[in-house]
Parts: sequence; C-alpha cells; structure tokens
Amino acid sequence: MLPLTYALRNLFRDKSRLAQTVGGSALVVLLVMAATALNSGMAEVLSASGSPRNAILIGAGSEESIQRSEVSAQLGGIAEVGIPGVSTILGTPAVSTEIHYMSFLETAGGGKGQGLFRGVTPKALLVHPEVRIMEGTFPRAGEVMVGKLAWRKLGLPQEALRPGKTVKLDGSEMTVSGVFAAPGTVMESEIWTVLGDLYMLAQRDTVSCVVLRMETSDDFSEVDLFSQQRLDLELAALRETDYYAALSSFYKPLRVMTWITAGLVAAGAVFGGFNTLYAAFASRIRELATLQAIGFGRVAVFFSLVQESVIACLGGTLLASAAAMVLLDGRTIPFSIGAFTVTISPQVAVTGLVTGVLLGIFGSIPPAIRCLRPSLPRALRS
Amino acid sequence: MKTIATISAVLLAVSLSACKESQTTSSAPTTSPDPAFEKYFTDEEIPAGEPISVIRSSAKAGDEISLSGLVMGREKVFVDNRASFILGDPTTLTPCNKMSDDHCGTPWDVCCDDKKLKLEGTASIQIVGEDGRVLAGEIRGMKGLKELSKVTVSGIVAEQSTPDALIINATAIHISEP
Repeated sequence: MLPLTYALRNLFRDKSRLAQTVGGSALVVLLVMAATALNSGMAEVLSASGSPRNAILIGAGSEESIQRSEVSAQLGGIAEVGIPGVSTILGTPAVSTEIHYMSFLETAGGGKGQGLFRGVTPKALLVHPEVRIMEGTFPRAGEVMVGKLAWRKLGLPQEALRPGKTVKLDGSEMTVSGVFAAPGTVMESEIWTVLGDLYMLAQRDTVSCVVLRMETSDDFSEVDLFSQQRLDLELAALRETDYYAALSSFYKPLRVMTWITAGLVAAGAVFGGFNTLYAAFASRIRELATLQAIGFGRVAVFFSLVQESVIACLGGTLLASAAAMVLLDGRTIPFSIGAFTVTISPQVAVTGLVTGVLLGIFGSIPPAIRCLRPSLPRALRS
Repeated sequence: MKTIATISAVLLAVSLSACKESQTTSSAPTTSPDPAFEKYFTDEEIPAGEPISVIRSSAKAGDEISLSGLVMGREKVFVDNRASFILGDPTTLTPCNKMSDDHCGTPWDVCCDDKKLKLEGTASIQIVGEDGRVLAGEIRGMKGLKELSKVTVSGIVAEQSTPDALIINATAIHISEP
C-alpha cells in the first residue's frame, strides 16, 4: 500500500484543482444536507402537530381541509354530552369548538401577511396541552394571541407582533394579548383569537370543527360512532394525527421537488468534479506507471487515488457542514399552513458525511480506472 | 415518429384503463366478528313493524319497536370496532344495484337518493352493554351480516335518539337475506 502522506502531498500539488474538488463536493454535500433538513423539518412539524388522543369532528366531505368545513355551532355541546370517553380536566370536558380561517393580518407599520387564524375558547388549551403562553395573556374579545413563529409565516417584523401592539384583521383593529409556543407544531405559526370575534369577522354562523381529547387513543371509535349515528349533523370523524398525515402527503410533491432541484444542481457539481479528477489523474499517468514499475501494485495505486479523492471530499464535507450550521441551522421556513425551523440534526450531519464519503469513492473510481487501464509500457511512454 | 407512436400508445392505454367500470366492492372487515354478539342474533323471524320513515316521527326514547330494512344509507355502514350499523328503509331508498344503470362500486350508499330522504329513511342500530355504552368489537360478518343484508331488528329507542337521528338499542336481530 502507498502511504497516506503520498495522497496528502498530491492533493496540494495543484491548489486550483484542489479548490475545485473541495468546492464541488462542498456544494453537493450542502445541497443534500439542505434537502434532508428541509424535508425532515416539514415532515416533523406536520407529524408532531396531531395528538393520537385527539379526534376532530368536521363536516362530511371536508376531510382534506378544516378551513372548508362547516358544522353546527351547537356541535361542541352535543358532542360533550353524547360521546363517552372524552377526557375531563378539573371537571371540564376537553372539547374545543374552533373556527379555522385563512386571512390577512395588517400591522400598524403597514406590513401585511396571510396567516391561519384559529377562533377558540379557553377550552382549546385542554385539547392542545402543548400550547404554552410565553408572554401576555389568553385573548379576550378584540384581542389576538400570536404563535411564536407567526411573524415569520406572515413575513412581518417580530417586533410588530409583541403584546400590546395593534394589528388589523379584516379591517378590525385588535390588540396582541400574548405570544404562545407550541414546540414543533404548525400551531406555533397561527394567530388565535376569540371564537365570538371570528364568527363576526369571518361572517359565519357555523364553526369549522370540534376537537375532542379522549381518555385513550382507542376511544376514537366513540367519536367515529357518534359521527355515523348523527346522520342529521353530516359529520366525519378524523384522528388528528391522520389529518396531519394527510396534509403531510399533500406536501409530498413539494418535498420531492426539493430533492429533484438538489439532485439536478448536485449532478452538475458531480460531473464538474468528475472532469477535475479525470484531468488531475490523467496528467499523472506516467507517475502512476512509475509507481507500478518500482513495485507498487495496481490495486495499491488505485486505493491511493481513491484515498486522495475521499480526503478532498471530506474537506468539502467539513466546509459544507460549517456552512450548513451558519446558514441553515435554526432558520425558520414559512409554508402555506405554517412555518418550521430547519435543524441540522445528527441525522442530517451523518447524511452529509455519508454523501461526502460516497462522493469521494464513486467520484474517483471511473477516472482512476481510466488512468490505470493502459499497459505499463504504454503508460510509461505516455 | 417512433417516439410519438409510443407516447400515443401509452396515453391510449392510460385513458382506456380510466374508462373501466368500477367493480362492486364491499368494505371487507379487517377482523372477524366478535362471538359475544351472537346471542343478539336470532334465526326466528321477527315481525316487521312500520317502515323506518314512518316510525321515526312517532318513536320516543324507551319505546319498544321493530324495524325492517337493508343495511345501507351511507358509504360506511358499519362502525370500526363498535357493534353498530345503519339500517335503511327500502320503501323510500333505492340502492344503486337495483337501478338499471348501476355503475356504483358502493351501492349501499344510496348515492342517487335525496339527502333528506336518506335522513328520514335510516336508523342507527347498536348493541349496548350494561353501562349503556355501545359494545366494542366487529359486528360485520356475524351470521353473514354485511352491506345490503335484509335485516329485521327489535329493540328499544335509545335515550340519545332524536327525531332527526333515530337510534335503536337492539335486543334481537334477524337476518332474512344475508
């Protein structure tokens, strides 16, 4: 075997080629890491948004979008009495009547952004226990409480949504009463307001859904039974997890597009890298033949070339990982129903590392074979 | 030219496959019926009462009644893991397989009937335990009970039954045509 120092020394013989290999591999690794982080971030926020114990009663035929659903405003009360197995917290059944409404929010500074408004009562906190009020209070009439990431989803300055600030919803002035967190869920990008206010602003006398927190996840059958028996109410029962899983599959084409875009750019970089390595190895055919002539086997030379490429690509991986930490980690990305935070998790880092190693190995094999294929006398004369 | 021919052939194949008539499918149970429900099923005929659409207006919670009909009324007539099903009135509702131009894969959903008629012509049948809760388990498949089975039920009008949603706690179920 050739010593590792031979591969290392060779790397620095042509600094511009080294820069090309390292830069190219860094670009590929960074794209793969970005695509992995974006995909897992979006998938995680949607899967974490539903609780297995929560069931949603919505209008039959609106299973794909709560915002389109319309059910009787009295449904919450009927469900509370008619469905056994509903969780009770301090004597209060965990049943939340909600309106989900997509509209524009305007700030005093003239900023405007579209976001999801959820009209709720304080009972919403019983069915969504992950919600924590970080600042201020739960909204009263004429007030809104904003999610921690709502500013990012709305594309507004964070300062514009601090407690006490005035905002406009469909022309009505409202005050921000507080900021809430619901870690890892789409709710963190929502704006919550009082159910009564949203009846008026959305000009409706129906609600979007009723969310019930059951004693156990098996009690969903009771909600399903209720929806089947109350044919007059025209309901459909959904597990909250199933609703968000369906939303997640709705966004699958978007995630696939991320991979395709990353793949296309990466393919360009990979072919550029191939070219660089072909050129780098081809200029050393005589040198490699000499190594064989003095006793190093063809396999040993081949491994040294692969080693050289892997080291360069690992350098690129290091660069890409640093760039990912600086440019991507912690960044909030908005999408149509919310926002998610990109995290360079250990899984993403390992994906980048594996990509770098594979790139180094598979990127060097074709040029190395090409350089080592000619017979020794022919290679020595080249 | 060859490429155009290939693309045309693929498009034709796709469009022809889309034209295929839907097959009649029934929502096959994922588990077998619970043997505990067997005692509620009888081979003896139960005298059929008035049609569902008629009895609905007069039925009050606690009344003892008997109903006859077909298991139909919506796409999903059985509730997963609960002893409950929908009974439809064949005098007012027509399953799609009884129509001349039946293309429906789920004829028991009576999709061609008016929403109001469906509401008036259906009742929810359930088997309740001593605690008043509907028993857990699969009822579909018991004695051949399935979508569009002809069934006569005797039972008591449930407490939660309303004029808009008739709910019967079954005491005896007879399947005359599985």
